[in-house]
Amino acid sequence: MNLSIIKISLLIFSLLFITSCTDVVDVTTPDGGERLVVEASILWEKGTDGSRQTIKLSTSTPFFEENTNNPVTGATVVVTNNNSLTPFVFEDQNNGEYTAEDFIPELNESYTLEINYNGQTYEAEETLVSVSAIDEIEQVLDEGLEEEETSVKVYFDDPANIENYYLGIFKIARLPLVILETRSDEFTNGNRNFIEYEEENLVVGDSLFVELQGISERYFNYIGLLSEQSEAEDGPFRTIPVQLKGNCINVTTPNEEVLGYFRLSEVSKGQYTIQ
Amino acid sequence: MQNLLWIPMLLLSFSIQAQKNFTVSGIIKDGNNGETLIGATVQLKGTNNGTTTNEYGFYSLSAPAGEYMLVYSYLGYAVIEKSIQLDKNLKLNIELGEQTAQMQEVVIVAENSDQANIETPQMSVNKLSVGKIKQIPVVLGEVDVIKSIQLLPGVSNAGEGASGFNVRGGAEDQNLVLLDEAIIYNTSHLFGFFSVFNADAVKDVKLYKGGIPARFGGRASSVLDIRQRDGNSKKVGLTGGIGAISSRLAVEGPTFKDKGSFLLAGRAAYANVFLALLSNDNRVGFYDVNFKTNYDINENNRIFLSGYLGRDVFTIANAFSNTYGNVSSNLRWNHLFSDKVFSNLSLIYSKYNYGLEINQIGLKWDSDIENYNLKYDFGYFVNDRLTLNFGASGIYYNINPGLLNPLDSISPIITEKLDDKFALESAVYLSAEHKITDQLTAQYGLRYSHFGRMGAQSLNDYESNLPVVYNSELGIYERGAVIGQTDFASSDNIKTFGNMEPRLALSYQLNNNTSFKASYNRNAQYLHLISNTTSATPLDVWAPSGKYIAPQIADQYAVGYFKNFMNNTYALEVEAYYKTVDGRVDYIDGADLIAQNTIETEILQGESRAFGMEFLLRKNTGKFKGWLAYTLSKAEQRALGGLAGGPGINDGLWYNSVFDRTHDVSLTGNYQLNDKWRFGANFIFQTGRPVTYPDGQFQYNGLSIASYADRNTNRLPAYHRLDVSVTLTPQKNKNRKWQSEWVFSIYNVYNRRNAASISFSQNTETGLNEATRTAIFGIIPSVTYNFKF
Repeated sequence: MNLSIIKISLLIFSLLFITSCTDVVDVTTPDGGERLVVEASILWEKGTDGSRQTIKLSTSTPFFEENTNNPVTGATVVVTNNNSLTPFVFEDQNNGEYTAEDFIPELNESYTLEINYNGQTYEAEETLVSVSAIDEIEQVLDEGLEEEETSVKVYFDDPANIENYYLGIFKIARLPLVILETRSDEFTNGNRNFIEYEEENLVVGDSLFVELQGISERYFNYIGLLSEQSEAEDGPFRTIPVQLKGNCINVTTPNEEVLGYFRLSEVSKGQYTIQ
Repeated sequence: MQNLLWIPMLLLSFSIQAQKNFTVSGIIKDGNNGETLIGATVQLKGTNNGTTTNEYGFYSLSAPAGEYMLVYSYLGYAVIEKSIQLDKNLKLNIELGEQTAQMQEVVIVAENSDQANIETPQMSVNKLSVGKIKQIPVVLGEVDVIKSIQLLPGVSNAGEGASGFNVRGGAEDQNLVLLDEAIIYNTSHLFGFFSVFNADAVKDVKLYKGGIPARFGGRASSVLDIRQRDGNSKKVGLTGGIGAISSRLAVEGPTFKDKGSFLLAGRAAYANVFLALLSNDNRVGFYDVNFKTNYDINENNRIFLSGYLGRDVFTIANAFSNTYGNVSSNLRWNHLFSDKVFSNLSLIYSKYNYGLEINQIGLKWDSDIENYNLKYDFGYFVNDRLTLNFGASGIYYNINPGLLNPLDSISPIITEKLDDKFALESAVYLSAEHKITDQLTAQYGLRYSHFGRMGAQSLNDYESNLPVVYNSELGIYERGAVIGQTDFASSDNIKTFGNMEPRLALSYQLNNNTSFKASYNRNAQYLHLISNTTSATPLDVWAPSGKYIAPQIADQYAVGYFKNFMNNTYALEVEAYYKTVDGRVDYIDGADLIAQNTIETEILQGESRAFGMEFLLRKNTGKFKGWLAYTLSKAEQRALGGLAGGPGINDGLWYNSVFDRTHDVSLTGNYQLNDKWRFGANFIFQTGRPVTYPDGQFQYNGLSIASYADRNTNRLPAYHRLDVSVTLTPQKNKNRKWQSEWVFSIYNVYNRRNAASISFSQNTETGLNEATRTAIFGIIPSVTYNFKF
């Protein structure tokens, strides 16, 4: 369980003030330059063979740049099963996407990603993490600050005796942003656990798509920080934002900052219509 | 150890020249209410021989036999002169009367003003009387000790609505905050909007920013010594006020057949109204209760009992509830061993606890820190050139960092207890205030502190003894691998530390109005507040030093120039300081501190340094009084990788502390038009707080994510605002028992939208990146009604 919810509850007090006293301002941000972004999420949905996988490569842009479509083409992308040493080649689609049709996912196997681009070699290693199936999606009314708010709880059984880390991805087609929620079983090991999705603007009939993904501890730390730093909440109880260091390393020039992450997750999907 | 040797030698040199001396001693009180006066001056007229009263109003002055004129004075009180025949030891208890406006006109020269302290070596001290604090315009009319001291040079905080305060580039947890000697762990109500001290119950506020006397220890940066009032020993009185945020009521009076007095003060905030929460089930508020009583057993013995209880309550219907606060009490015994030896024995209890219930996730959370403190302090007024202070103290800590419980039977939460921590902090000290020549006075001392972290506790053992290791491949710090556990029994010392803390201050008096001072102090701090947010939150826990966390050691050097001029109308104080702290805790990227049983896996210990110049110009007399404070300073920190490997946090580079302010100006003024009207204003300008702005964005998981580089390299826009107040004292008050006043104030007159923070995120509707400014207080008018009966 991610106890940052405690801190978030605390923030609600500040929000009482803040909601009425925030405005959008013009700020000049520094430009750290263009960096390679690796979005290599190998996702294996339960009940499928997981053979089709896509990896995206792009470059970063200045913070306020509205055109964020900066695909990287011409790279070679290969993922190798470290045990069987089977290589899976991801074909360049010339739009920043690299696709493999013959990928063979195996739970708890470790894999290596290798990218060759512009004479540089990038590498990352991760393990395919399993996940429990979503067993129930439930709509609840929470007593909110000023009125009752609808939220959705996604339940699953946490396996005992091992540490588990979860990423929940919530998407409503009507809204532009997906919501990421992380959870560990640190305080709930072996119990029936849940991830909760809250959104102020839910309306009856909204179709909510849920993905529950099993993730490694390292990726849990990474995505948790990423998600925390991308939330709008602010105030005196926020931590200093820091560089998000992923697991993709330039082995040719080790000091290069590479954004993004290579990870492999088993996925349980669900869908729920708001009532 | 060399420092130790010269103290007895100096003592010796002065006992040799002892001649036929007599002592005059006693207690100085306020004639109106019998409150003892702290820091009142006693002087033998026409000589350099003088002293000031201690925290209990006691003074002792020795001089060769003869006829003298004794001059008693205290800020805002009429001066009293008394001729004495000093041919035996004398007891003189004196009551001073407050200056009335009429008297001011007559004996204006005799007014003892708030002048710069020229003679004593004590520097880097700011003293605020409650009267003065009450005249400062404040947000929502809520008189606030902590906000007032932030108007002084060298004191800042992390922004509006942030808790605590920062002294000379020190962190919030480096302030020793004492209320009647009891440690107050959290000085904030409502997460930092208000402070926990009820001005009606406070007598005296003294902030030591440097040159910290040897009798204080345990914190690296400063001491805020707040003393509660004893209560009116002349007559029963009632004071109170009704304000926009809170109401106050205090009752006091004589007791024990006029051999003592009591004070009971309460304050309750009804912020609900102010926050305009719609549901009746939501509650936001705080209250506090101050209590004090004392009893004169006889001339030589007096006992005091004081207590404080403060609580914040924040409940949102059935979603969650949150309660926290301090409680403290102190039983004291003043005893005079002789006319020259004053002693005080204190038994102090203090506790801070935090409780939270979140219905949504079915969590109940409790944490607290508790301490018992026994201390014995002596003041030995040896002769007109030497005063000795010495004593010993022991503090026993019991820290419960957290107990998590399921709230109900369907909650997924498993009961979990974070390890209790136990420690004993003890100290002995000796210090001397020594007038070496008529021009040169020294205050030197030594404190030896000892900290023992005790069982029972089980601690993890880590591979290579490293709780944090650098992953050189990914360039990140990670938790060390646990290879076992060591169990410590309650009789075991897990780890002990001992530190010599020398303190030295010198004053060289050029003339009656001008002096130079210099000081050095070393302070050891054994407790660390674990907090990686911009400002500390109520749920942050204290971690004692131990196997994996070393104490913080601060060294501060300061020099100063002090001058009173234009017949003491103006006082100028200029100080420069340089301070370093070793062992400052810093947090690795992505540190997880909440409910963390192994804090050592989340931190590296680094260092901090601060330097600056402070200017304080005060106008002390006349219809217009006030001060201008300016601070030019720098506060930085860094944490190198050390044994954990790697470059360190923020690549091992120095970076700005969140409370670093290059320029900090405050102008505070008060104009007394007549008996009826008084006007107050303050203006504040500060360099914006250091923050980290994104240096780019990248697409990930369908989101636009900000990327960040080095910490705190950008700054918020400058902070400035103007506050004004008008106090109306109705004329009919004169000679009436019921006295009242109205205080009208406007905070942030020109409605500056000062950024408390700027956050960067995607607009939830358009998906475009934007910067959102949070400004907490716009223009806020308020009215407060105060009364006295």
